[in-house]
Amino acid sequence: MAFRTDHHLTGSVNIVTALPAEARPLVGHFELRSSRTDPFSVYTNGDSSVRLIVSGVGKSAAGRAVKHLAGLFDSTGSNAWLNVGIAGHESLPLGTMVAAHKISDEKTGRSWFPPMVLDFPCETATLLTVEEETDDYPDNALVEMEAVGFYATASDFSTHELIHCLKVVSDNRREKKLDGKSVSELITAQLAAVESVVQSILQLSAELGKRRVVPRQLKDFLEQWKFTVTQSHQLEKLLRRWEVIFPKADPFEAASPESRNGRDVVQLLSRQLAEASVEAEQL
Amino acid sequence: MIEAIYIEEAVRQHRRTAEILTRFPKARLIPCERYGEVFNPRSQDFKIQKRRPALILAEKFDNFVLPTPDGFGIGGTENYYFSHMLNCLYDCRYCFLQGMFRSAHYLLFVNYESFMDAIDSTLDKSTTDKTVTFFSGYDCDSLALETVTGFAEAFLPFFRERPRALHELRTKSVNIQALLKTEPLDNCVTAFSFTPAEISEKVEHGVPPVKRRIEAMKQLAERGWPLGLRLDPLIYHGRFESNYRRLVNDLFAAVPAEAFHSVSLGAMRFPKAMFDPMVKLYPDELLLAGPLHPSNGMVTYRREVEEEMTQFCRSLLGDYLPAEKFFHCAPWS
Ligand code: SF4
Repeated sequence: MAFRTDHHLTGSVNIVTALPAEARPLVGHFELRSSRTDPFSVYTNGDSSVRLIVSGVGKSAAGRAVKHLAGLFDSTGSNAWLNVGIAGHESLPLGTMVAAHKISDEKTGRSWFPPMVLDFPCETATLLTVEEETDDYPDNALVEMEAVGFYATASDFSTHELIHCLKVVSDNRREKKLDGKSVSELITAQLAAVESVVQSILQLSAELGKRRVVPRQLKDFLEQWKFTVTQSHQLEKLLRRWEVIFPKADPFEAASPESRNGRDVVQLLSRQLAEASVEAEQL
Repeated sequence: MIEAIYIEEAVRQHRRTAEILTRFPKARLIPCERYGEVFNPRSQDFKIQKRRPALILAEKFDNFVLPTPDGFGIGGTENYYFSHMLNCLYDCRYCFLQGMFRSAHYLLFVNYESFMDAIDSTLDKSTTDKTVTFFSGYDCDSLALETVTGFAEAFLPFFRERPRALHELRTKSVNIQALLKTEPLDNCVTAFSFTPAEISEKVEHGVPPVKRRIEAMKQLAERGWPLGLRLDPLIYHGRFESNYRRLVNDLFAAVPAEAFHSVSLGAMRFPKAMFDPMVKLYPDELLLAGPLHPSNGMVTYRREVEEEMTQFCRSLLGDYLPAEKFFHCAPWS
């Protein structure tokens, strides 16, 4: 069964972490509760606007987790996605948080470019997703194992502006902090920064959701008259325009007296809209 | 203004790339193989990107110069357009670019010389010895980003040496310094497009006010540059007659009629394939909500409305300009 919660107006974010140790601080911070454990551990907050899934290690696992989460929650194309985890870097100090501006697959050479539309509270850099753990640090890039699977799959469900990766440096040439406790501490130290990114993408998600809201009276029309599939698409567009052009006039009343069927309704609303007069001040 | 710059590896060392980068010392520089990786992916949101467009510096390999649609022209026998850049600094709500491209990033092709070679071979291939017109500013504004692109600065000397070519620089910008600092060219028409101030303020976001654009035209006219006037798109609204009358009066009060090389007008209309994505981005936008209707693959005003507006504005302009200066160069008219 899928969760069917409407977050058109508030926005929603799906967080993906590879490890339980990465997830724990986020679960606490966003007050998430475990909602299922099979095949992935999934957590949600009270109104299900923040969801988190623990994918396991590797890009395939990350991709599968994204698909699973998208399947659980109604995918309207307006969910934001955030991958939070640890990564290695040649020289950056442990604990440094970085947002991805480019994500490259070491194996295929393919790259993705999250659009830089947010005010990130940190620097941005290239992430290189590798197949296996490595001590070989690439030049000018963070190295990790999930971002490609996460990003490529999430972009099947949402627009690129809403999909981002945040990585906290857990190892460099000089030191490593890879045990569970240290990883949780590294993420905990960056919770305020993660929160600010979550708030920004929630806003974008809400904005996109609002754009896709179904016109108020569509249901009434569909119940009153019979429409073919094409006519019902036309009707939806007409009602949306009606709300913009005649915000105070009831389209149902305008359509009722003369219309015998769906075709009549579509023609009548089209005619009235095509004859509307718009003043410059209204624009 | 530009916070991120994507750079194709192939143009990293290009002279123009280096010049542009010096203007943005704080921008994030993000290398890419081909611009398509950034510009073309599905599921991008033009509207969100438009708030913070990045610059993409790329190389173009083909289709430098393309024929314009039939009937499109300003007097030359052959008509072509070329796009050194895709997307625009401004944000006009009726702009078809937002329905045409998935990305709002400014995509700049830095290999201007390849465009110039293509223009030369188009001139060589031309069957007559009559004027061949090249339009720029079809997929961007020709001058709005001049301080970054140096486009006019590069192309004006080029066209100066090719008198058989006529170049139209289509713009809504007042960025005319590149023109003012050189001798006027008879074969370069700077074509300004206008809607009345009352409309422009509401739907042409970021565009300099009508007054300033008229002032820019005046300056160019005083220096002897030929000008174009494009009332395109004509936008229907309650007081369109008085608003368009004021616009035309203001224009000709400031700019002598002799300065106009050509004038064109065309009602607002869109190919449906571009209109639908625009409405998805701006479902609450009154300008796009009506009073338009679909007809033969286009979204247009009713025919009577189109004709009424066109004839009215044509007669307004007819008071100042002879019929032979009227041309047809609005997209999809
Ligand atoms: S100036 Fe032209 S190209 Fe630029 S946004 Fe406006 S219509 Fe589009």
